[in-house]
This record gives sequence, C-alpha cells and structure tokens, in this order.
Amino acid sequence: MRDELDLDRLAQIPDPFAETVGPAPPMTAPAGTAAPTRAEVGRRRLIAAAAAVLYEIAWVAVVERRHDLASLPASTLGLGLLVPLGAAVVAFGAVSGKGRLGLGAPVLRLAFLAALAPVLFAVATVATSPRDDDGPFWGLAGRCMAVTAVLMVPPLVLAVLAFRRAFVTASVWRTGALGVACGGLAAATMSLVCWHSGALHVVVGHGAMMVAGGALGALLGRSITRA
Amino acid sequence: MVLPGAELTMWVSFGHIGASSAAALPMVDSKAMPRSAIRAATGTADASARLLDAVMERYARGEDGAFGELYRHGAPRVRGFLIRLSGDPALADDLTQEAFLRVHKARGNFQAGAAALPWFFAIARNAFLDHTRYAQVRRAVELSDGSVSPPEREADADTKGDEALIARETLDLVRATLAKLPVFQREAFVLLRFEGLSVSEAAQVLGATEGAVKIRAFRAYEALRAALGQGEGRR
Repeated sequence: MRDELDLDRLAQIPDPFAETVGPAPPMTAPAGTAAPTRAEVGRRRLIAAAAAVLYEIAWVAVVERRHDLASLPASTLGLGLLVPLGAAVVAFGAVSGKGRLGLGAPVLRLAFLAALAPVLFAVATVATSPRDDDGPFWGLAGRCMAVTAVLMVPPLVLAVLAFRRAFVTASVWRTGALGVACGGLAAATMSLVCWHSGALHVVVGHGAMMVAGGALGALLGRSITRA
Repeated sequence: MVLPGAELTMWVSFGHIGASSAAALPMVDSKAMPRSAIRAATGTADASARLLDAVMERYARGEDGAFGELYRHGAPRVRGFLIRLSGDPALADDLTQEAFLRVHKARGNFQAGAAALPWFFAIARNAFLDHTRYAQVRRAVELSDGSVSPPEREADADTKGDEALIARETLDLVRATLAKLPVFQREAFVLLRFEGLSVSEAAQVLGATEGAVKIRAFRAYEALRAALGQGEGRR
C-alpha cells in the first residue's frame, strides 16, 4: 500500500506549461501602499499586548474586583492566575511557532495545541478547585460568561490587528488559537473579579470564553490575519 | 486503467516540449527523472533560493529598494506556480502582481531566517483561492475554456513523423485533466511535481498534513495517468 504512494512516479506526468513559464511582466514598487517593517510589526505587537494587559488591570482596578481579593491566600491567587495563563501560553505558543520554513507551526501541532489549551484549563481547574456550592448555577455562570466576554473581546481585537496579514497558511486555526489565548487572559482576570471558586463554575463561567474566543477568532478574525 | 510502462515512457518523453520543433526537444525519461532530480534542479535549497531569502530578509527589515530585486528573482517562480495552478497565463500575470502586493504588505511578518519561496507560494495560493472564490468559479476551478475540452485530432496518429502532434495532444490532455481536478489535489500535485518542493515543504505551504498532501498528489497522479491511458486508447 505504501509503495502505491511512491511519489517518484509523479515525474511520469509531463509539464503542459513548460513552454508558457517565463519572466513575469514588470511591476513597479508599491511605494504608495503602507507596509510596516518587521521591527514596526514587533513594536505593534508589544503595544497591543501591553494595551490588552492594561485593559484587564484597569477593569480590576476601576470596574470590579472580588471583595476578598486583599485577604486571598497567595496560593489561591497564584493558582487562579497561573492555570488560565498557562492555557493561554499554550495556545499562544501555537500561534507564534515558527515552523521549519518560517510559515508557522505545522497544522496538526497547531490544532492540537489550540484544542489542548481549554482542556488543560478545565482539567487543572477541576483538579485544584473545590466542589461547587449548592444553589443557582446558571445564573452566576451566565453573568461570569458575559463579564469574561467583555474582558476577552478587546484583547482579541487588539491581537487580530497586531497579527494583521501575519498568517500565510491555516489562518483559521492560527486566529482561533489567538482567540483561545485571549480567552485564557480573560479567564485569568476573572479569577480576580469573581469570588466563586467552585470547579464547575470556573470551568463554565470563566473558561467557556476560551472556546468562544477561539470560534470568534477563527470565524471573524481570519480575514484580517490572512496574508 | 493502469498504463503499461512502455507507453507511459513514450508520453513522458515529450515532457518538456519546446515551441520550435520536436526534433530540438530535450527528452525527459520518467525513470531518469525522479523527484529527487527535479528537486535538485528546482528545489528551494539552491543558490537562487538562498539569494531570494537574503533579499526578502533585507526587504522585511525595511530596505524598500530591495523590492525590484525581490520581484526579479521571485516573480518568475510565483508566475510559473500560478500558471500551473490556474492554467491561464493572463490570470497568472495578474495574480503574480496581486501576490507581490501582498508580499509587500505582509513583509513585516516575514520571520527572520524563513524560506522566502514557500512563503511566496503560500501567499500566491491565497491570492488564487481568493480570486476563484470572488469570481464564483470555485465549483470546478477549471482552466480557461479552450484547454478544458479534449484536443481536436488534426491528423491520424498512425502517420509516421507525427510525434510532435501526439506530444501536443498529450500535453493538452494533461492540461485539461489538471483543470478538472479538485483544487486541493491540483495544488499538491503542482508543488510536488513541478515546483520541486518536498512533501514536508508542500504540506507547510498548503497548511495541510504531510499525509494529506501525499494522498492528494497521488490521486491527482492517478487521474492524470488514467486520462493519458484513455487518450492512448483513442489513438
């Protein structure tokens, strides 16, 4: 069976366009079209990342934060931040992977990491968080999902603009992974906003936006990030 | 459906037919021209590819004057790829310009140490797919009308000294069959067979897995081989 896929046999097919291929017609340098250099692109990404983090900090500082934030044990606080941020780093690692040719991480690894990030978040949260209290679940979770969405969308917009024309292949997956990463950032911020620490609440109320961010990025962002 | 090897070798011998005369044609023997040889001739790791990488690196850093050099070295390869993908030289010319405009706009995203030619191919492919999508011809993504229909028989193939005509018909048949292939099979086949990329390189350019690229290219090959077999049967 493997032998049937012997690609050396492709050479048996003649090139019907061999005589047509030649020099391309002249093209003048597109001087009128703005094109940032690599250094400018790097600067824009740094600014976008800083702006996204500042937005999250400003939300906690100005709009809303959990009432017990000052008295929270360092381990609880650290875990609440590290788990979603770790998932975000995994997803962002998929986006920023260079690949052997510089075209980005291979699509299988990219898809695996993008899908792995929310799963990691859910597993780590369930493993480290207490059971949910009895009482209304969906009302609280729904409110947290809405707040997480508000925390996720601006960073995603910034990220998509910072990665404008960056992905030459698999732009759906790469922009989706960018959305997952932004969802992870928002989930981390939610650990400073929401005082409910029940595992299911955190997974659904805070973590669902990782999946939603991935879908949003994949569906809406790819037309901007595709080169 | 499976061609006898001898007949196939005869077709392949007209692989690089020239415009002037059949007698002046460089003969290509399938057995003597494996993909490794094609890669050696057109692969991305040769000196011109390294030169292109260096020029693109300068351009990504902001040296605007490098664009002319970049276009001079890169456009012929991109145009060749687009001709084989679209089957239409005029469209390929337009898409080459579109692709290089995109290269210009995206230059800041070109990673340090990356290979320029696969990056160009990926951008050119995006330009081609966008064109076919916007033109709403994606349902078949066929080549221009004249090349799709089977070639007319102008003379009896049994006539001696008719090799040039047979070669021409063979190339027309390959062109027509390529046009009928799904674009995913065609692009994989073109990159592997004509552009000299390895399976791994083609997979990265197409944003697909290596296994998928192999299967797509081989299905294209089987369709082409079957078409050539039928063409021979008619003669």
